[in-house]
Amino acid sequence: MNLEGYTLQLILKEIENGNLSPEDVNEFYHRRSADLNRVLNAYITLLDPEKSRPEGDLKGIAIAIKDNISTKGVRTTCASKMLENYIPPYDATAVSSLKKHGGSLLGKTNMDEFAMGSSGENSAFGPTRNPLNREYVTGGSSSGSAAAVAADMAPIALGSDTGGSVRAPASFTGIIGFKPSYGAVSRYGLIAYANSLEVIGILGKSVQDVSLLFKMIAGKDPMDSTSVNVELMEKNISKPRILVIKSFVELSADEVKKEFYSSIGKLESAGFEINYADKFSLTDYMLSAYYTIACAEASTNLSRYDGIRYGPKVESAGNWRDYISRARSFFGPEVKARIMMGTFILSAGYYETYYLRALQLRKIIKQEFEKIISGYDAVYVPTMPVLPWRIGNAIEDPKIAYAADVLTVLPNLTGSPAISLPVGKVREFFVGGQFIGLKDEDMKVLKVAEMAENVLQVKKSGRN
Amino acid sequence: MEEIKVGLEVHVQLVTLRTKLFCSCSSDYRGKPPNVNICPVCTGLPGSMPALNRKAVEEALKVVLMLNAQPYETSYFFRKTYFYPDLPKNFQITQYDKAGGYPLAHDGSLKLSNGKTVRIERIHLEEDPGRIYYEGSRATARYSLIDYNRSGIALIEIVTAPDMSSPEEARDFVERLTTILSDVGINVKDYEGALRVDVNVSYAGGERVEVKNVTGAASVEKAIVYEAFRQKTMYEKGIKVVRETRAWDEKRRITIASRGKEFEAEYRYMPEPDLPPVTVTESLIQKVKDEIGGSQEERYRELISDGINEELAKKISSDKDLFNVYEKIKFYEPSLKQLAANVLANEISYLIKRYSIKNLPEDVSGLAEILQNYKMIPDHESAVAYLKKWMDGERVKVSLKTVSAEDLHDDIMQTISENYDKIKNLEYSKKFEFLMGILIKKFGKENKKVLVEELTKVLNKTK
Amino acid sequence: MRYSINKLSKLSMLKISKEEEKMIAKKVQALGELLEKLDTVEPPKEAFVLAPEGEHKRDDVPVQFDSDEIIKVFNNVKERYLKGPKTL
Repeated sequence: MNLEGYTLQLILKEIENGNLSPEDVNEFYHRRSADLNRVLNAYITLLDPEKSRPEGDLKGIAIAIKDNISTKGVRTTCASKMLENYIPPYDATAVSSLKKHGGSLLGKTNMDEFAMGSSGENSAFGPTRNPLNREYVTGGSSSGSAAAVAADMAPIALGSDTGGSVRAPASFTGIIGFKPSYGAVSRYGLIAYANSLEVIGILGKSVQDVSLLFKMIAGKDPMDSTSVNVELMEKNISKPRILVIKSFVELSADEVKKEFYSSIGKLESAGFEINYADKFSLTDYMLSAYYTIACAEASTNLSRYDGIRYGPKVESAGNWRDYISRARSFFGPEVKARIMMGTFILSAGYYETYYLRALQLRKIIKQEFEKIISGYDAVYVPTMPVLPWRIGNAIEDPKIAYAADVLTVLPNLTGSPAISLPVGKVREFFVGGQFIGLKDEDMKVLKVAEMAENVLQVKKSGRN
Repeated sequence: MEEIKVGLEVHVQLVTLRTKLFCSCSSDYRGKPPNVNICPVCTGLPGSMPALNRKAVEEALKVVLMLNAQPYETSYFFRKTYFYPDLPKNFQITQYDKAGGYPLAHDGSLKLSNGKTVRIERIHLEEDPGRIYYEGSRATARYSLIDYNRSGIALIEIVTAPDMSSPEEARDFVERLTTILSDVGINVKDYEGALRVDVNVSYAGGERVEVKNVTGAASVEKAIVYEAFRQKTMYEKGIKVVRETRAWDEKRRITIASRGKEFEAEYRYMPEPDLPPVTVTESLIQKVKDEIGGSQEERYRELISDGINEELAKKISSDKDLFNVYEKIKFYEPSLKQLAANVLANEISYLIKRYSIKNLPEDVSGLAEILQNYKMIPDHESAVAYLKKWMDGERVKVSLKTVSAEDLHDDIMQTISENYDKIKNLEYSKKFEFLMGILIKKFGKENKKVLVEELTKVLNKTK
Repeated sequence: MRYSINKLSKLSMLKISKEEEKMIAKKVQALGELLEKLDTVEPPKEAFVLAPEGEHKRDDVPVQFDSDEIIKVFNNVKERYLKGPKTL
């Protein structure tokens, strides 16, 4: 039995028809993951398939979960030495929702440490390798979830998106990556990097797959005070009205630009209404606002890792301050750099200069986005301005990685839903395009993306 | 003596709550084994998030209103970052009045016994840290022992202006505040460590020194006495007092330089992104007002206007329970109010202390019965016994069919004839004692006097 | 922009090894350059907080979490106490 290229929906249909059993499905993904993980490094922890078959829509199908989402009894490392042996005593709300719908755990996927990174290279467990070319990065930070789905090591996966962490790796591996509206999915149990920006997202093989899973995990959660109920009714759109922001496209490399514009042509001939805005006036400031807010929140979020309650057991000689510093040396360099930057941003005298200005920018960016999108169903821009780079390049020059976020941070700053899908092909890689919508209009962008997916047919799996 | 200036930061646990401020763990931690009331939230486990206790806001607002403070329509929670093993997230969720933040309320006041008004700058909500224990002393222990049962308990912090100018005034402030808190049901006296004060003292216009973690009004006074003396001594020797944080050593009754948290100035406040702002609407304020009832001052004024003397009025108004009973009696039978005030301030107050009685009965009809027949109760001892019976929640019936001498005559005669065989050979005093025993059982102690008179008459006649 | 890696690592309680130092300095530098752009932004007239929207409060009803599960997570335990470092 070979399930390569199978979507989750197809699997469920085949189970329904009696052509597949959930045990067979889980066995297939488990065996394939165990094989391929040696080269791709997509999983940090791969679990043995569960024997019992839970009731519900998912029929016991095992799903890959990013290793920053808490799973009761299963270690959750955030790809950090700091949490190498940490076993949460509770499930994240999104995980319990999946279990309630009959889902089970396939394994915990590799990622950039504490979700800080856009390449998948900043992991204490080694970089995730791109199934399309193993010498290249998968994109991050949900690198393992993307690689697992792209390489048929999982039918679908959960990730998290703080500044593009679901969409970037989806784009680099040629799959679908959906970042829901801020608060649409509970963050309870998602190990925080930057609370005000992030949300749990889904990586899958088709828009319908991610839509299916989204409806299972969406909803207001009393444990997450920032969560909301978004509309989950299917939207009917006959002629999508799309806005392309030219200044965003222009930030992209030529090969990305070319494929992206050609996808616009195809959409237009298929009946999409395409409109253009020349620029988004705050384009130049988006990364600054994003990194200021993210580092500030990260520096306080990560204060709790001091080795006292959990985390590395360090030698207890000396006083508590020595103890804490020794334990905190277990963070990797990217994490340390962002904590330090956040500490700087929040320190007396600089708070006004950087933090408050970043908040102000965020507010203005949100207002401008709401203005620019009005009258349209979605904004359409490339997901990543570049194609995947060789593993190691961004380590030499960290600016490469930071700059790669330029097109993905906008929806995190505005709280908007955004979905990336493959829209073109360059050599062995894909070019990703993303549809961005108004906050809480998740079903609308999903619908537009599904229509675009049908038009573009970039990845013909033949098994849809 | 040069002038000292004292400002207080009073931390009060909202002991009326059943759960912690940001999680559903029980807040009942005293006397519990370590680390039983804990969950991912109050131990700062990765991925956990705070969820605000609705009632904490309401309870805090009661104090806000009692201290005449102004609630902000919108207030925010902030993270205050510092590393310490009792703080599971290494930041405390609190409220802040700078950096765009607003606390729960601002600009209140409290009047001291001497008539002076102490300004209250702000009141805010925050979470309590855990507790640290040591085997032996802190200095010699090889490790710390941490209990997170207290971690996340809801606190309000009341910050005063430096308006107090003596240790006594500071003590009075804490005592008055304690009364006000008990007026709204927050009986901090019943809970050890529920009220903790950081005391700011400056001598002769010098730098202010903060003495952290002083528990209770008496200790506040002592700590200020010591600190004022210390600063005065330095001043006189020409040594500059530096701005610093000191700790109060309750055993040795001195303040000691605190070397705990080196980077205190660097709290790195930022808004808590996991919590929406707290909104205080007009209707919420009205709801809280309805729950509060009046203040001690209002109670005092009412008693005085009822014609109760100052001493009694002071005593009754300082205890909300006593006052409530007074009110009920007044409603039941207005003519009893003077007597009720007397009994409440004296006998009942005495009994509350003597038997550590926590609550007075809701139903005051038993007490009314006692008061209505009070004059007939033959001695003080029996009166107290009746009162105790009521306070214990038992049914009270004062059996005072006040019997007239004539009514008694027939009864006495009957009693004599019924027992004639038993008494006929007894001498007078024995006979008298025997008959009195029976009659008292029948008519009650309260009729003792009239019985003695009548029985004497009858026996003398029949002699 | 003025910051020293040394001071920031101390404030953040991070120990940085010799080998890491160069790489971290490079990353901090790159992040710092992003921040510098904010110097040209008009500061907000009034400090404000961008808070999540909505009203969300929980009722004051106790729910018992199995505390033994938390104790299991703790690194060092003595008679249910979490064993921590010396605090002097």
